[in-house]
Amino acid sequence: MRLFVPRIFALLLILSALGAGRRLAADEPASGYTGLYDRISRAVVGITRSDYPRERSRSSITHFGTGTLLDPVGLVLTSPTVVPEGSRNIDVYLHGGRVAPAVLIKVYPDKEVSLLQLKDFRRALPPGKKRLEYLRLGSSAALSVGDPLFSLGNAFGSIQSDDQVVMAAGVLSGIVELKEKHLESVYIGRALESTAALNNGMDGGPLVDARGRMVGLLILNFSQERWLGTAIPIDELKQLIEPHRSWFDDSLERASSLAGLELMNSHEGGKITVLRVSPGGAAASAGLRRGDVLRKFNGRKIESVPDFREVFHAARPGEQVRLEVVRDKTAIFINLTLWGRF
Amino acid sequence: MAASISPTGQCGRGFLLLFALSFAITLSPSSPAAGEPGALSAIADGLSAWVVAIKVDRSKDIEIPRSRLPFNGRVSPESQGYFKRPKGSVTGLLVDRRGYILTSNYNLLGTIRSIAVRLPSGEERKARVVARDQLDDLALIKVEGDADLVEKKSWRDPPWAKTSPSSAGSFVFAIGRGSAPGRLNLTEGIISAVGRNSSRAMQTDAKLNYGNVGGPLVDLDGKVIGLSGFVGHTYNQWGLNSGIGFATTVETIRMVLPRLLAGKDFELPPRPFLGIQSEPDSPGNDGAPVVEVVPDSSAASAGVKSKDVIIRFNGEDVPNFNRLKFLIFSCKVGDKVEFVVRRGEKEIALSGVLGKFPERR
Amino acid sequence: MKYMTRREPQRLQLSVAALRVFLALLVSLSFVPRAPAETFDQVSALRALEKRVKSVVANCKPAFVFIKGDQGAGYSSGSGFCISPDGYVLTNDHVIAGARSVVAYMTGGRYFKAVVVGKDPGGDVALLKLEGKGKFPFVKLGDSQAVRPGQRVLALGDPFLTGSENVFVPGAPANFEPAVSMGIVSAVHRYSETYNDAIQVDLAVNRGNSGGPLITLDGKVVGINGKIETRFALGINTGVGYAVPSNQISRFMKHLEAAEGGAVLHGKIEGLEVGERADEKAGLPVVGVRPGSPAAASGFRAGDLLERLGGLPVRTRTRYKGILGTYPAGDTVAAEILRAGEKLTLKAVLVAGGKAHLGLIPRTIESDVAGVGVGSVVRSSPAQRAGIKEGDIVTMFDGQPVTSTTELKRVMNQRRPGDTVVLRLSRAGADLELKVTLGGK
Repeated sequence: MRLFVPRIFALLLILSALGAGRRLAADEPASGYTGLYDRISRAVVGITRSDYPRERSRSSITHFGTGTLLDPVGLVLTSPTVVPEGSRNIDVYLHGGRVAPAVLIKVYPDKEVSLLQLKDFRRALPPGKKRLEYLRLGSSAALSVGDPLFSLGNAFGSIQSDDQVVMAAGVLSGIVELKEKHLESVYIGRALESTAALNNGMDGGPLVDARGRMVGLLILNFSQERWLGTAIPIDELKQLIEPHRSWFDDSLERASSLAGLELMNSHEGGKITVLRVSPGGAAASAGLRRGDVLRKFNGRKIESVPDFREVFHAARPGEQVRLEVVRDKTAIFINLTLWGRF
Repeated sequence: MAASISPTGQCGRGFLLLFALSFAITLSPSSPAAGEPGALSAIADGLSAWVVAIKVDRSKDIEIPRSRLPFNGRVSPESQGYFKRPKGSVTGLLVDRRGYILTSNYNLLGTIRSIAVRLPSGEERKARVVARDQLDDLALIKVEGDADLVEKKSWRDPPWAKTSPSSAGSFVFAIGRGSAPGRLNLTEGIISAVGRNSSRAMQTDAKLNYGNVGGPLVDLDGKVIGLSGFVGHTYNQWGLNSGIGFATTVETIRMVLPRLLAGKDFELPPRPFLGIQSEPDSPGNDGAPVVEVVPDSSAASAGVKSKDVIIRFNGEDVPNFNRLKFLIFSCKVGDKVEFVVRRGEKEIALSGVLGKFPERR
Repeated sequence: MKYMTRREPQRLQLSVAALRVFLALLVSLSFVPRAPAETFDQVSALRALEKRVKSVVANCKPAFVFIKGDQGAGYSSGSGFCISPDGYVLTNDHVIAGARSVVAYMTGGRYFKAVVVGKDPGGDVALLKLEGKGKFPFVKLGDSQAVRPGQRVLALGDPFLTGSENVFVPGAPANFEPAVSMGIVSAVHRYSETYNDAIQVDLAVNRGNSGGPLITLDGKVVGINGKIETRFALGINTGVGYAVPSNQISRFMKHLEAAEGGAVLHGKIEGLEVGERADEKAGLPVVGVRPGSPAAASGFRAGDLLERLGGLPVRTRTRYKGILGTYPAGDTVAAEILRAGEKLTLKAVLVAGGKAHLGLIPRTIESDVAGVGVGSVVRSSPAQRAGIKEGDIVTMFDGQPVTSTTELKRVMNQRRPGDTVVLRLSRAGADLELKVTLGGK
């Protein structure tokens, strides 16, 4: 016994030395935010639209701006100043020069929100990747004056011209009440004011906190009184976005049940398609397959991802649920026994 | 390894201590998680008791000379609006318990109808201009009402720094109180240069708006190192956050404040005068060659002779006359100065008292 | 004490040894390159960063130069920085373009005359040399390809002449301190005319910053600040500035040093025609190669897929132009191509693009000599450097008589930038021959 204790002691000593060294090292001033940029810049996209439907060349671009990918299958948040109601011929520019067409799902004019969905996210994937990178939403209410903030986007067309997402750094300068429309922006209400540079083409893009979460939607509404960039707080927009969520991965849900299932809304007649089933998971065991179109869950019609999320969260571990799916144009019934989480 | 280190011996105790220390370092919390009030927010809040919002109502504003606008004012009609003084409140700093507030003089130019101050408590009071310092873009106003703004116990002077930063690169924050009651705003930057305005001001790239001008510039310790100003005063385009901003140093404020508190405007100090005529820029950087010594001047009394070359002034190198002028300008009339001249092969130390620049006839 | 036995000295030795190991571990870990950690708003982290920034500023400031160009009616102003102890200075070409003479002030006001050693108008770079004895403080160029978005950077400059003039009290002396601004790299490899491969930054740079250094926190210069793009075209910084990258400057350096005050030309792969990117393939298709051209000689063939140029991936024609824009005429660049499934690396020879340029403005001169009269000679042009003067009459161009400006234009069009030609002139009744190395436009 006496022989082992000191060895363990010596080991602990070395480990703690390593830990301390690493800790001290991590507190050294960073060269900047290169890690943050690497982690999140691919989730920021350029958006162009052309008012001339027949020509799809660079010179026919009439408007350009920025958007943010909110999920790995192509839900994009932007603004009506970039993609207004009735827009067609919307092109989304992703990292690596990939261009993918998108459809406009919904516009909320008062909150300056436009939501798009990539028509086929697979065409936009970088080689070797199966999903797109996306930004998670943070909490704008939790911000304090002086917190580091970053604006990202398509400044002066940098994304469609040079495949470069521009990032600028600043801090939260204050909270302002916007009382009237300015320039193209119509948003009236509380806004985050930050010192991160904001320029033409960055409207519709994200204001991001130091952890890489989106805390604001950038709007260009400069006025004489206000020369700092502003953004709509994300907390004001979350309830607008949620009903249009088009991706579900139960491993990320905080539900009590587990099935090993990933779904998406393909936005073609409201079809909810199985994107993936985890090998050996409950859904796989029940015979569910990639490509199946989900129609009903225990008799209830499923028309959107939030619909499915609701019923999934309500279901209990061990419960057997009856799914009606369409496979190769045939309706099939699948009995799925849900597993539980620890 | 032979296992013979006893945890309870003297060395063992030392090891335990080291172990505990490194364990503690390993587990020590790193940066605050997003969501916790950040350290900069605490710096802003630390100034809250002294930062006020000032609303000025004017019947007529001053004209900005075209030369101070970008492109001499030749911009589109929509953009012209950016060069007029915006509406909205500006910022000031409470400097005295009797309700005296220091702000940028530019904030108080024009024909003023009334001034309203919103104090940190939220209370609104009327105020009047007490005195101005045009050179440093400072103005002192006083709120009307009770002689003492706060009870004797709770007033503290603002957290002035002992000195302003002596070199570029220091991190600074401009604090302002915006239009929304109760809220402070903050912009961040560095000291871009010191020694501006004959060493009375510093330059910063912290974004100064019309809203936060007149407020304090603070350092990482939360100490006030200057008061922001000169926006619109010198170049109107700086008001648009081009990254050029200025603040009067705490040393200068300390020097002028007593006069302002006594209700007296700070006059442009008489220009100091040494009394030599020299060649303008001459390469060689060997010093400022004395072409002529002005009779009855400080230089004459000190014993400077024509053909002397002034090479040091008050301990600083003098590479040319330009530099000498700057060094003299940073002094005051009546200052005792020491300088070194080169006369032939010798270096001679001389001293004198700076006189007043003679009036132009 | 209880355990004091004969083995005690051994224990002590081991304890000391272990202590040494422990301390060595801690110390050595401070040298381990750190994974980039984000700087949150923690005051202690900011303080450490502040210290670093102040140190970089203090080291670089002495090498800073305020530049003034005498334009005849007024001065052009800008910034520059010294890159060698013998006084070579880099700045933007547009700071000194057209100047009769150039002077420079170092931080603190030391004054020097400066000579333009070489110019790169196509890349907006100029190399000067300060006239003076002794060693000049200088800064080193870093690796601009290693610069990444998010990286902290500093700029030194003279925005709105706040350092070289006293803007507070007109007539009062200036303190000749450059202004420092701090920010981050916003993007890299940004393309525009003359700024083909620019580093984009969000720090404050304005008129007067041109020619000044863009510095990383290791104290190296990775670019020359020279251009801004602004919201509402108001002409003041709104967070988008562009810098010429140091790697481009390094490639031009030996050409600038040898230019004798003249202009250096950018290179192109003459005779190579590239198309736009084909969707799935990463690279540009070579659409055509002119027979007998430098591109053909370098080994290009139609059908090749150009994947990398100078080691960098090429996905668009804009990027192709951007990478090439960083190379001088006379250099070679590695071109990695895909041909029938095989990867090859070609050494592409770069020649000057554009039209040949002489630099003289013709004028009708009454004379019985047939030729093209020289009305004036463009400053620093090939004509001026060759010694052509106002009033000369050009009678022959490389053995061919020229009797009109049309004829001169025709023979000039047959020549390329960089070609050396022999001109025969008539000056005050006498004939003389001058050798001229043609420039580019």
